[in-house]
Amino acid sequence: MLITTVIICIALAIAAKDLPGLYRKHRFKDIFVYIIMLGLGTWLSILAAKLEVTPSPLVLIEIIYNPVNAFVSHILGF
Amino acid sequence: MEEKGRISIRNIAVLVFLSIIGDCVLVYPSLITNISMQDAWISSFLSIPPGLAVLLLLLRVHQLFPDLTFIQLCQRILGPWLGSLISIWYLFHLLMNSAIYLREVGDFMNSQTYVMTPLPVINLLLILVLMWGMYMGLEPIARTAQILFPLCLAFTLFLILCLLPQCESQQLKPIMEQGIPKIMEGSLFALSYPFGELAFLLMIFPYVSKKPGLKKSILLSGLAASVLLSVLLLVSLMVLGPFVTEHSVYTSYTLSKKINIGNFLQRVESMMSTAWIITTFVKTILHFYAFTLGMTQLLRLDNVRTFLGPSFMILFGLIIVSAPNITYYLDTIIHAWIYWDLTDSVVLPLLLLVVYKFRSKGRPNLGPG
Repeated sequence: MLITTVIICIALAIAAKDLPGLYRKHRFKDIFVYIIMLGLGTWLSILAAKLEVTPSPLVLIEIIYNPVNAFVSHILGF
Repeated sequence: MEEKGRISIRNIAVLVFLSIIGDCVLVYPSLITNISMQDAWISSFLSIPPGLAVLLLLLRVHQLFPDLTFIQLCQRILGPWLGSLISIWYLFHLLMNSAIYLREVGDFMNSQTYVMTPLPVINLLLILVLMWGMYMGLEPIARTAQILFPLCLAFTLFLILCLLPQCESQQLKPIMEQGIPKIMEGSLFALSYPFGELAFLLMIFPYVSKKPGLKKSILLSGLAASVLLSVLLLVSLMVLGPFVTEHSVYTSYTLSKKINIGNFLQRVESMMSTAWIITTFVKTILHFYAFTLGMTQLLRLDNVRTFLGPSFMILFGLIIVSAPNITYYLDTIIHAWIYWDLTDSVVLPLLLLVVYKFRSKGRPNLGPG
């Protein structure tokens, strides 16, 4: 619980540093992208700091490329 | 949002050298020996010409529009929709690559040196240094790499030279026992691991100063780096033998434990590991720089520096999340990984070249400009 709070505080500190500048320049698309990235980063950092075992994004690569590997190995004979 | 730095031709040659030997000098011998056993050195030397061909392909794509990075090239040649899809795929590859390299460095330090430290703490230290480098920009990164380059080169050559007295060529026999298909498969691995991960260069090339001699320098440094890797593999096979090379995870670390000159120069493995951490780190920071630059160019954002904070948090999280244990990225996904690397460094540039030739034949106003 403590580590989650610390990471959320760090995320809010980073947001407090950057968001007012973006708001003053009226770049709302930038603010939107920034908030999405910060949310994603906070979620992933909490998972990382607690060392939880989660399925990784690389399973996507495995799903796509394992058939390619089987196909090429079959063709080239290894 | 344009990067104002310019790096010189010597800098880019050093960066290419460090990127080729970067992550590979730790795990390359054991990966290739896993496939081809004692013929791994043949696979490795056979993979040098295709590797240089990949470098030539990247340089050729750069010469189409010398001022545009890969993301801008995709938008220009493939159009907005297909170009954005391919750009997202490419940026995802760059981000996952940076996370996996830092994970490898963290796991190496965690399993060999700092055994009781939790992994997120080591990663935090690495991310802090990465943060400092990213806030500085591209030019200081390139100049730092140039300063640290003689150190890395000296340590690797020192490793090879000190082990030459302990080499036995008996360990290489029987030669070609596995047959040609296994050597070819090993060659495919040896092509993809050092050279397939150079896809980020298409984002860095536009910021190199426009003097002649770029092609020759880069091909020369690519040749030197891959010959160095192959000689390291050969020495590893001759000193440790195929069985130990295959089954020890960090082969170069095991090799450096065997350095013993006159019972005086021994236990130098920590010094060696410094050089490898430096090379992997340079590769990671270049990949991450290419990722942040590409993201701001794709989404047409204002300034790269504003988005560095969230990017560091995403990277910190992805380092742990991307692989549950060491076996995952050293054994389970390597067969899929090599095709992913080859897609990004061979198939995508070829696609750009083919579409450019096709479109510029029909419409003469898509010429270089």
